[in-house]
Amino acid sequence: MDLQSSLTQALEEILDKMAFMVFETASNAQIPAASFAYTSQIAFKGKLTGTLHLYFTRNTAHAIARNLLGLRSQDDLYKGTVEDALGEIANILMGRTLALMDPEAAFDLKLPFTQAGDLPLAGGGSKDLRIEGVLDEAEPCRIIVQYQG
Amino acid sequence: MERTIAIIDDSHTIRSILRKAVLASDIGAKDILEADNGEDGLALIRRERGRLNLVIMDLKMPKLDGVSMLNQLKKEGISNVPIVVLSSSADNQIQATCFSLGVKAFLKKPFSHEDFKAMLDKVFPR
Repeated sequence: MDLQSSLTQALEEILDKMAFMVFETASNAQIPAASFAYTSQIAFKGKLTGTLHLYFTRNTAHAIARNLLGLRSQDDLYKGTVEDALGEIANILMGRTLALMDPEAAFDLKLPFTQAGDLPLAGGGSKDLRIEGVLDEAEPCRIIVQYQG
Repeated sequence: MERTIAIIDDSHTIRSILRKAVLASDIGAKDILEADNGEDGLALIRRERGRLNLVIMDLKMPKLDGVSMLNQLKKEGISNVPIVVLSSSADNQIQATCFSLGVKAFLKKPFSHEDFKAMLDKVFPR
């Protein structure tokens, strides 16, 4: 499978299995303008080497964290909890993506990093893959992979 | 039967998911012990080996990675505790290494409640 198909399938699987949410890809024109409240990054090395960047709105980030952790809407949700949850999503997403692309290939994932805010891209690849989508038919979400190989 | 389970993972999120899944299961989990890095995980297993019924651990962890931890456990002859490795990034070679070091099962992330239950059934057959 190519990177784009693997990434999309992996994200659909993860959000469905672990966060009970539906991800659908969409063109730029179809999704509402968003200011992203959290960015998660994870670097990877193998047949492809680069960095995955995930951008979430505040609503999406909180919904993912609550669903992953089984928290009710009235339970307190701390910034660190949200950041850890999104970092784990990045970690699982990149691992699953690379495994879907080539189950036999060895690869290495670094520890994920999540920060509040819409971080600029850090570089680290000669090619960019960008996927825009919506979660649960409403909230925009952006995935960018900068890679080489 | 009451069982003691160790969860070793640097992600608070994953530890929380696993804790809830273990408690919701019917394996009789009474005590759940946790560590958030490989070094502390190794110390936990050494200290509690006499009462641990299951260890669920990550591979990619700060301070000491999972494979090094498994190597150390094998070197010290600690083989009485079933170990399940949880990973999103284990290729076939790493999985083979883990099995050779005594790992009982792999749980690949992402996992659903059904995947988790199937893993427990494998470790604790009825």
